[in-house]
Amino acid sequence: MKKNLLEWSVFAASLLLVLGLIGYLVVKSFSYQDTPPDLRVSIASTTDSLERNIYKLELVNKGTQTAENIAVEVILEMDGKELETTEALFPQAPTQSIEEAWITFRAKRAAGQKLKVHILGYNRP
Amino acid sequence: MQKKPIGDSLQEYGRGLIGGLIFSLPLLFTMEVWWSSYRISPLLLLLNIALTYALLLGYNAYAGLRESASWKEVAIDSVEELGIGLVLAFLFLMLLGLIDFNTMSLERIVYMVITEALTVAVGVSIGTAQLGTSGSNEDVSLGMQDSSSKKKGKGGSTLELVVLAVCAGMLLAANIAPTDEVFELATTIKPLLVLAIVLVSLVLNGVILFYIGFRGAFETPANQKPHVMEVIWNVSITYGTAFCVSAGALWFYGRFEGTGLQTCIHMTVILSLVASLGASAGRLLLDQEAEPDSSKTDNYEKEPA
Repeated sequence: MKKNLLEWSVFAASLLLVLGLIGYLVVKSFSYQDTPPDLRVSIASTTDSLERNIYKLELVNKGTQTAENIAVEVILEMDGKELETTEALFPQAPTQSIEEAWITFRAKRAAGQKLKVHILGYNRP
Repeated sequence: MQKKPIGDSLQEYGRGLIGGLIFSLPLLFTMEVWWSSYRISPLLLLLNIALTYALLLGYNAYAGLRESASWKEVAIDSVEELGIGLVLAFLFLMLLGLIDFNTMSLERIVYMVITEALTVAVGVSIGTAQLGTSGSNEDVSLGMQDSSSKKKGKGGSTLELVVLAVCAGMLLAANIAPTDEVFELATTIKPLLVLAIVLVSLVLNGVILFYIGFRGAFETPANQKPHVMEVIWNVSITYGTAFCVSAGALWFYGRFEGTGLQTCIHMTVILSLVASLGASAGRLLLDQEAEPDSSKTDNYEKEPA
């Protein structure tokens, strides 16, 4: 039996999708560089209902290799003195993706507090 | 030539969708598969699309489509199945909350969908062909070759055997290859047990193909034993195919990366136990004929499909 309009439509859409993906992958293949994880952390203060001293961490991996078990240390400072240290763990950081985590400090939020972020370590899967 | 009614097409797509889900849901729910898509290269994905398309062509040619189907129709239907597999994988990953446009880059979404979709596409193909009611229409049939020519000629039937064994073996192996358990077993298993797994795999293949009256398997008049060479030929090809499929699946999911040769071999042997069951029993199930009774009367003795 001959194909009907529905079948031809599904075929046309599938062909476009497959060719589009192949084109996308070909472009990606030419620009692909196997670079090690390149991790960047940004931090922003946030609030919760209990008004804790809480911050949101965003981890972006600019490299092409995935990083795993990323440990990030955050130091809370005031007037150049270290008040408190806390850690966040990210199980995975795939390339070009944003991973989120939240950290809290026991010390109350106050003016003049500063944060220092340091990536302690990670491994490749 | 008469056009196919839209209702029939919708039913066929429905069968394809269900088949795609049945065969690939374990993969869609496996986190090692999601993670493997993070570290896959675009070139490997391109290669996998090409291999999956070749597999769909092979399956549709030998078992999936009506016997009157031409190569052009086989090619068109294979593209459709690939497209449906991609859309289905995308929708299901969305449904499971695994795709988040806010935190995931386009690249990561595309890679994850393609990694999952290729098995879904094979499932769609098998579902379309196998889940329909037998004899209700011309779609449930023997593939491009007719029943008489199908069994003729060693070369043709061997190619068919390998193609269907790859399809069925891959469907089973792909569900297990990405998991950590294969690596865990391979690093702790004793060499003697690896040998035992090979032997058990070979025995199971032989039993399924020749000795337990499995549907579609080797048939002879009562009490006539199959020829030894026939057994060795079919078991070797089936196990060899399963071994290659297992190695390919492990390589695709990155399980060989940084792993020593001995562990790689152990992993392949362990996975081959699963893949060879697919390549033997699964293959026979995929290659069911629409009219088994007539084939028995036409060919009293036949090779395994």
